[in-house]
Amino acid sequence: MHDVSQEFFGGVFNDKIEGGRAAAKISIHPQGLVAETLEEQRFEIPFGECQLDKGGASGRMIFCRNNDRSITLFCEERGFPKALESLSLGAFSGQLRAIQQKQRGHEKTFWFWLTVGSVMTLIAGVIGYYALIATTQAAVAALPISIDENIGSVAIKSVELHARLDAGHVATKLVNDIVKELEPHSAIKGLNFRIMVVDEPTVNAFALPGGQIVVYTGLIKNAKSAEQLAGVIAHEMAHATLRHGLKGVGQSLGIIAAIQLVTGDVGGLLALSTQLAQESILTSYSRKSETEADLEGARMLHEAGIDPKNMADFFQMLEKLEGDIPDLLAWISTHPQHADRIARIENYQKQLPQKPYRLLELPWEEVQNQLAN
Amino acid sequence: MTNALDYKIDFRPDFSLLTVNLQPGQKVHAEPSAMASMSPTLTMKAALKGGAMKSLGRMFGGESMVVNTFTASKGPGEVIFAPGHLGDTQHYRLTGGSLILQRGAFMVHSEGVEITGKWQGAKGFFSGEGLVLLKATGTGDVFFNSYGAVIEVDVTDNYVVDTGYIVAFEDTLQYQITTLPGLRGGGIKRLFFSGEGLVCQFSGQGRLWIQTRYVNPFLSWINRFRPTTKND
Repeated sequence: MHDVSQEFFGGVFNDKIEGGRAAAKISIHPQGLVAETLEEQRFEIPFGECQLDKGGASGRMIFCRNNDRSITLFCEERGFPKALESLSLGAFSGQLRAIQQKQRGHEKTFWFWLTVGSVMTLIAGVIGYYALIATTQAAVAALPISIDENIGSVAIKSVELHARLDAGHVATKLVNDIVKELEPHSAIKGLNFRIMVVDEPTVNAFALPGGQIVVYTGLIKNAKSAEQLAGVIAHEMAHATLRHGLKGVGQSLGIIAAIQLVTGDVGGLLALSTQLAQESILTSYSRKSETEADLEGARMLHEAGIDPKNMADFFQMLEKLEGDIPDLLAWISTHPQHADRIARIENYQKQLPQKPYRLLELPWEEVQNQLAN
Repeated sequence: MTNALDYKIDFRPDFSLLTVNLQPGQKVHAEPSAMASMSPTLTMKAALKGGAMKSLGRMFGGESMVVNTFTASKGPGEVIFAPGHLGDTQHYRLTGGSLILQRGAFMVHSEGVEITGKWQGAKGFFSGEGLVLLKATGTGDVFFNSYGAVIEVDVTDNYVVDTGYIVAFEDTLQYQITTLPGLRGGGIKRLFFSGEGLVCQFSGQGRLWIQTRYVNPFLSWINRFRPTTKND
């Protein structure tokens, strides 16, 4: 008991004090609590009269009032409740326990509602996200295809096509012939496919909304056969027919709108985290659409009588090339892992009915010779 | 009483001005840009007071991290402080306890007083008045300013104030953010449409200062008269 301090700093409320309140030294005596102000006014509350309460701005302040509530002592020091309990020889243990229980009850309620709130927010977020995706998908399907074409013709202006080969070039003709083979089997009819072949060593090809397809000669040179090239072109055509461009735009606009709706006009930190969340959602979305385009491309190849394995073979070839050609990074960064893609295409092919595949009768050697010069 | 400041507050309540007379060697600390004029015998120094954490606390409490210190280094002199906006200036004498101040309410304090941020957590978040209040502790004088005039309320049991009207309160008062009692059970609709959102419910014993105007309704009123420029 001797190691417990008997004097604490606190204060007292009483009408005799000027202003009604003063700082005071509070000491615990065998018979009760005593407060002495700096002006040496002395107030005493016997243990028997003392009504304890907890509160204050910090929530940790202990108050002690006498019977007629004319004197109120208060103290916020951490050791005070413990000292009070031990020095009053248990006179307060019941009251102190009641205060502690009240406090715990408050804390429990707080944590309960905090947990409920967080869980509800999370559920609402997940539901909202999936509802948003479903809504954009449905909304995009309802939009006329001319919107895709408009977006595509705006987007093509931002692409540099200096070294574009003219329409009469054998390479352009070759790609056009491949598109003609695949076109009857595309998911939506009436899409106006336009081909641009660009003379650059980049191993890449891309499709814009509305059916404009850009193929770099680097890709044609690295393909081992016309069928492999057809595999890549089928993939790019699938992007256009599945309207991935419009879905991506719709989704990112939707996500921005939804996040703004939820967060309101909040700056700084929130804006940053919003942007990060948005980017990660969009990258995974584009990966998902790559997989979709792979499978849709494989279906088109199959329907056209071309072995979908050629698409897988092309990816295998890319895998081997990796590291040798830095330009490949452009393709790799937005596309899923090659091994996964190959496995998925092969799996998909197993589900398709067996059918004899043909080889394309195209001037492959001539194109390769032309491009080599 | 030690280090009590010799001060006067004029032009109350709307254009209040605080004049502090310093004895040689005496110091007073003020928020930046509060000084209106001073005697040539005083020197001013700007510094992060109380270390990095306390400065950060002040920053989150809507104050500057920097505190200006005025010292009567070349003899006695006076310094005049003005609040940033219309309104009253209030004096409070700290005697070892603490005073909780609304965001941005701090203006001037004497030696022996420390201003820090006080984390509000969920309480602050729901009140819409920011996550951090200011806390003045120690022994000495504190001056804080209000928007509009100030009413001093002696709370003896319970008192309810709209969160936007709170200026300061003593540490012996417990406070809780809640909806107006009449609104509870009335559904969320009434909470949003009554215009009387969240209130601060004080309990216990202590003094509370409330201001006669709340700055947000004033801002939305004046916003309608703001000339707009079109961006193209």
